[in-house]
Amino acid sequence: MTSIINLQSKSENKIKLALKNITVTFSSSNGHQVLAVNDVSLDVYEQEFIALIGTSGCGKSTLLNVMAGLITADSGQVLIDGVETVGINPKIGYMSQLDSLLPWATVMDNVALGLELRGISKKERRAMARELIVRMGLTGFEYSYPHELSGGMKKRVTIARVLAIDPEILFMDEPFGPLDAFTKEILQDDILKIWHETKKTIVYVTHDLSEAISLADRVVLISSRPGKVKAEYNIPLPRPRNVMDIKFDANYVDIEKTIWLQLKEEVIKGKEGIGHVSKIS
Amino acid sequence: MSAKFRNIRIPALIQTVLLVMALFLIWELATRAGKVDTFFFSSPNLIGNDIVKMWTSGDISKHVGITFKEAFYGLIYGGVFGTLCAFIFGMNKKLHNILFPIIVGMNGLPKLALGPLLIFWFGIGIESKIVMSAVMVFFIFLFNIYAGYCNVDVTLINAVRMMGGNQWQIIRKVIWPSCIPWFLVSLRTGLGMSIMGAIVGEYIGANKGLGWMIQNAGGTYNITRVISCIVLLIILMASLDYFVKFLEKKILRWRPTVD
Ligand SMILES: Nc1ncnc2c1ncn2[C@@H]1O[C@H](COP(=O)(O)OP(=O)(O)O)[C@@H](O)[C@H]1O
Ligand SMILES: [Mg+2]
Repeated sequence: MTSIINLQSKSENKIKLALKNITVTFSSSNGHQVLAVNDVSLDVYEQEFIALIGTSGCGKSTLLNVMAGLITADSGQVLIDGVETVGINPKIGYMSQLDSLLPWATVMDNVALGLELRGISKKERRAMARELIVRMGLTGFEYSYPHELSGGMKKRVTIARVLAIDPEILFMDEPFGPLDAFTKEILQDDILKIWHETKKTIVYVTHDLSEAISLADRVVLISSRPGKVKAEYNIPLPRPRNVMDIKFDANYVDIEKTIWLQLKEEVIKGKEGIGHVSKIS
Repeated sequence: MSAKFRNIRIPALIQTVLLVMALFLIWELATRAGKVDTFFFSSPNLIGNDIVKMWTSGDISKHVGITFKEAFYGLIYGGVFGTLCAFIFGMNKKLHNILFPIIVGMNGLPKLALGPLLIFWFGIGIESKIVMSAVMVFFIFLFNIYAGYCNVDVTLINAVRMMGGNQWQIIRKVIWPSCIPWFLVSLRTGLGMSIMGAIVGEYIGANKGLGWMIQNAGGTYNITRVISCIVLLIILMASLDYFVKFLEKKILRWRPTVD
């Protein structure tokens, strides 16, 4: 039931990251077993920008956590560069959905954190961090604390921090969710630039369809809980893209409509799971 | 009230001092007017003279010094040991589940009940007071910092793990810093507790210290002396608290402030 619009793109690249039949259940606090992810298999190609899209609670973060090695699946395998991995893999940089900057560390120390953990000398890691701070447009805020920054700037610090450890694969879990539309588009453009320059493999989780289409080479639609791969779509929009203009590309609306028809079913199904508003009599 | 008047800013510390002075003035005037019996309630004048007398005779530096020393060591031992135990329990939930009920039960005991045992084990000297003080401080640090440990943001731990941090680095970079506010709360509460522990220890059996002075003066109905000592104690506590608050401001610069 996989619909494919276009087969160009990265599929002749090597497989960078593979999920094989991943299933995850949680036991919730009231004793129920929650099937969060059901038999998901997925290949992510080298240098690909892949977006996972699905309704809230469909298991997107859980999937990333499994790939990252933060949680172990009940069954299935995670392969990176063809090798099965158990536990945390240093090839992955993870920008989590929640704010994860150390509130007691300055911008400089936050950006340099990964380098410090790897035992790089203070002088060296500060030089590297300073370079990234400049690149992310944070000059002048080196010694500010996170609570003194705007939401968008905090995200920039988080991006700088994950770039500092130069991971081959980058996970981004709804990275710009809580930001306003303009800040979001600027940061999305930054991500595209970084991706072009560094050629990293990016796995990008979102519940925002237009974001997924504007950024990704391929969009994977996850069904509402339990999460399963419902469909995959290659996005044949030209590169390099500009997030602000790509929406006016002739193909954009067709792609959006095609995916939306499928996504809508999941949104409705998900809503039934939540329960309805009852009629006022 | 006029806007002009409200714009005059008097530092809170001065306001406190002014308030205390006003209360003392009322007290003194009431005594002078014969409304308050100095045998039972003394008077600011008598107390002031008594404190000057103790100061010149060297009693203050000697006895306050002793009590301060006992409290200081009590705070250090209790604080370090309490913090250490909190971290051990945080890292080892099994140990926590086994030992915590016992510890909670022990905390429920009035520490005064330990007095005779401590005197018996550690003697009449300063050691028994240090232990008493340390025991009282220990529980404060243990409970507070353990609560802090349980409140650590898992997102931060995972972020450090993803960047390759090991267990020790997680403690140093995430758990310890996020426990610091709890540590400072413990320090502030523990400071009062450490002095209380020392005084209680001195009540039970001693031949020097502020607690012994109070006990001794009370026995001879020297109410002025008792109140002098209490005033000294209050000044000591308040200035120590001021110091910790100052420290807190310095250390917690990273936190958004409420005011
Ligand atoms: N630690 C956990 N314990 C119990 N249930 C969990 C836990 N983490 C996630 N879940 C459940 O698993 C499902 C998927 O969660 P998640 O992966 O966070 O969804 P998404 O990121 O797509 O919004 C949700 O129904 C959530 O309630
Ligand atoms: Mg999520």
